Amino acid sequence: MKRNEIILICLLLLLALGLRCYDLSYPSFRWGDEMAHVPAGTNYWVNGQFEPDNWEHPPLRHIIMYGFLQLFGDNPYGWRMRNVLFGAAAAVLTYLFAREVSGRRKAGLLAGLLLATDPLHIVMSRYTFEEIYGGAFFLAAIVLYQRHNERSSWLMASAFFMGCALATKWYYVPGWLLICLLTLQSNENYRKLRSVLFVTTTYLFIPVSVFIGSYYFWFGRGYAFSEFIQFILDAYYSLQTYRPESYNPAMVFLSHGSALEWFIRSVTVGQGTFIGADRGEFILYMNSLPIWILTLPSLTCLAVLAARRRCLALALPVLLFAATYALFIFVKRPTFIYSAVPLLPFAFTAIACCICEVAERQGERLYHLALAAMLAWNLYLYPLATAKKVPVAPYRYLLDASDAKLHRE
Amino acid sequence: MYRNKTACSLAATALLAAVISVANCHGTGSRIYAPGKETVTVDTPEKAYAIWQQKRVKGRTLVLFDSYPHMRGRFNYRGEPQLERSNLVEFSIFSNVIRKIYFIVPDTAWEEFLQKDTTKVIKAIPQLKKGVSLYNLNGMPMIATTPSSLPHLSEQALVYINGSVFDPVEAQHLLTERGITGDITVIYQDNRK
Repeated sequence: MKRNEIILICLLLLLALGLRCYDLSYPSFRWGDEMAHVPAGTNYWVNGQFEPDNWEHPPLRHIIMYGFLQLFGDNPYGWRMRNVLFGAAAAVLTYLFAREVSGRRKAGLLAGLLLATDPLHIVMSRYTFEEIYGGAFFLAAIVLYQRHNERSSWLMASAFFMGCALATKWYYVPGWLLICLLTLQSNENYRKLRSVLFVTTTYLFIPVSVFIGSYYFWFGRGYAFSEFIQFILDAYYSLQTYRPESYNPAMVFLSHGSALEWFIRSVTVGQGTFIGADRGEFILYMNSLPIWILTLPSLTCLAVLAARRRCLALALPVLLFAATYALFIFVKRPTFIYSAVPLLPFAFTAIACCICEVAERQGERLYHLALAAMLAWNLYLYPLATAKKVPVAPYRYLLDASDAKLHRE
Repeated sequence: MYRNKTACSLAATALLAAVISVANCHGTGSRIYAPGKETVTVDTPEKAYAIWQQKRVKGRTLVLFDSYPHMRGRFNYRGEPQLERSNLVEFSIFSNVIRKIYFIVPDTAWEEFLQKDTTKVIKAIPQLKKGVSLYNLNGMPMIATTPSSLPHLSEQALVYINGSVFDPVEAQHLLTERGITGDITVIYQDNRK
């Protein structure tokens, strides 16, 4: 990697960190899910219990939370720095992923910047949502897979990060199996017995070991391994029983429970307060629709390009997006907008690749124009995601059309 | 071309075996049983906890002969919860005295039990004629079953019998029939009755 590119990555990291860190200690109290996630970290470490968080989700989240509480203290930084750091790292990983897919630095930069400035990714990076660090682990595993070049240690490192993702949420199971199959397929590894054994043991056993290991404190409550299997089956079946009425009616995400609408219509939920006649303060979870709506067409174009060029690397974002998105579409339980976060790196990579392709034919100006317009739009939405006091007028149309819970001070 | 494939395969396999083995040993090694066997009658549910605490039991299976029980609520987690008359089971879960529950429902009340709003079934247990995994907010493995379907338990259990719901003699007879031994059997008899 050249020096210029390292500087570029550092700048991207700084931008992502800055947008996520700015005024991080506001609100100064535990907000939303933090009320469950923060005490659950300590409760898991000390007692092996998941309360007051959900027991169905794997517990690596609690271990990391406890670590950050020890590092930064029981204060807004201790609660939120985990997501800030992993969220910023995800922007860099998106750059590396897109760079590897397209072979172009510009595509990497555009994809990285889109993730760094995406309002949904930013708002979730400022609280304790597990999609941020789980997504970063997943992306780290994929980037290591892309670059492993048949180096055993890199594939093992990739498997380790995949295990961390799986020990955070179950979202990543389809992606995990897909990468395992792709590794077997590459260089016809599936034809060589020792390679098959190496890939399968590495890419199945290491992630499973990390997943089981994350339950160490739960085992400390007296459980045997056979009970662990039963517990995981219970968790799986329990997750299938979730219905909209299972949730707290005050939950802000309830108005949009289907993954089908994420990339085709505006989804804006959250809460906010109008202050005086013309100002307000909002924490909104929203898709940045003018950008997100390009996802499905871009993925289609990328799939066509990959098929024409017979290039599996180019198809990787499409395959990973499809595998993960299919889970959200076909799962029986409601899926809320925050679950879209693990898809964003693949969506933005597809968009960036397509813009670069078009710009190559129509002129570089198009790339710069798209870059400027997309960044401007995301930054315009930034105050709505980060509880900044803003004049309401420029955002009136968005707020009126939203399903956010808005109050007057 | 991958290098050291065999060594890496063996290492990954060994890692998985080690993790399973360590986790299993850590779990089963954390269980604490009371020396000997005893049956105690108490006049309030909280006293059952005092007995378990006195014997320092941990990580145990509870065979619960009671009405659908102290499991409805969630801890409003503000520091340590306090033991109250109505939360013996929840409190014991929180203190890691109990890790698993067999909740006994009379055979005659089974269908009615399954229809109740408070009964949230995760799935049926195929090995038991009448047996379901119950959802609860603690994630505690909780199996509801009837006396006729109660399986044999290979480990010693804690037994709690609410005398106003089950006849203690019949309950103890059932346990003997199923080959279930309990190191501490607590019979709750409300003095007012």
